[in-house]
Amino acid sequence: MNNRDLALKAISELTQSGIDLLKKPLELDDLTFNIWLEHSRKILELVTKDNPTIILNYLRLSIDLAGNTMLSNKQKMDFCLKYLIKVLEII
Amino acid sequence: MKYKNMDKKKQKGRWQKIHDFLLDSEKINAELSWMQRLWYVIILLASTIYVICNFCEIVSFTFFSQFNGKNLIFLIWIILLVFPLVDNFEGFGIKYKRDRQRISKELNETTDQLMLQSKKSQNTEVNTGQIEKDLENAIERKEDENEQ
Repeated sequence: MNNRDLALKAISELTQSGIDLLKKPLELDDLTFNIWLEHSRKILELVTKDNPTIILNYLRLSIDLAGNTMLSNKQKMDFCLKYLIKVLEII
Repeated sequence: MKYKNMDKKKQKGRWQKIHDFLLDSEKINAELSWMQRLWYVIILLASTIYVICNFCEIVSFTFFSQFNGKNLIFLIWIILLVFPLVDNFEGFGIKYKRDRQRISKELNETTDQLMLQSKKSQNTEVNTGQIEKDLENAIERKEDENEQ
């Protein structure tokens, strides 16, 4: 398995884990969301080392979302997942 | 006096244009990519002409004895011919990725769009089904690419 395949597998698993959390009927609490966000940052950083723009843009988005108090955690996660899917499509 | 003032204004306009151009990274990138392509064509044409003119001498070379500049040009010519077929190359301390710029540009745009959307969509419901569908489509497309 080369680096690209590894990145694709890791990002798709990460996205799936986010979707599983979104599917839960209860509202996503801050702790769970923050743990998932930190986990996603680390995974993305590890698997996309050869192109720092990917993690830099993800950090830019997540910081922007963190400052938006009008959005729920599920809505924030929705935007993170959209970004991850875009990464999956173009790498 | 009038002409002098007009000249000064023209010069100011030119400097302003140069200043604007240097600050516009998109324009610079577009110009650079155009120059890179032209430069590639010039080198390829020059080396092709050289190889055709010295074909007999160049083809009968050895790596260890009598290795000279002509042989080097022949090797560079072969690399130039293969270059458009290669997307990624990693080895001998060299890393080359053709897609890096395109990926960076697309992701910058996507991030800007998502950030703008996040500010507008405050009371919208999360559509989990759509995200799941998008993920499945992305994975399918990647699998198709790998099979090809």
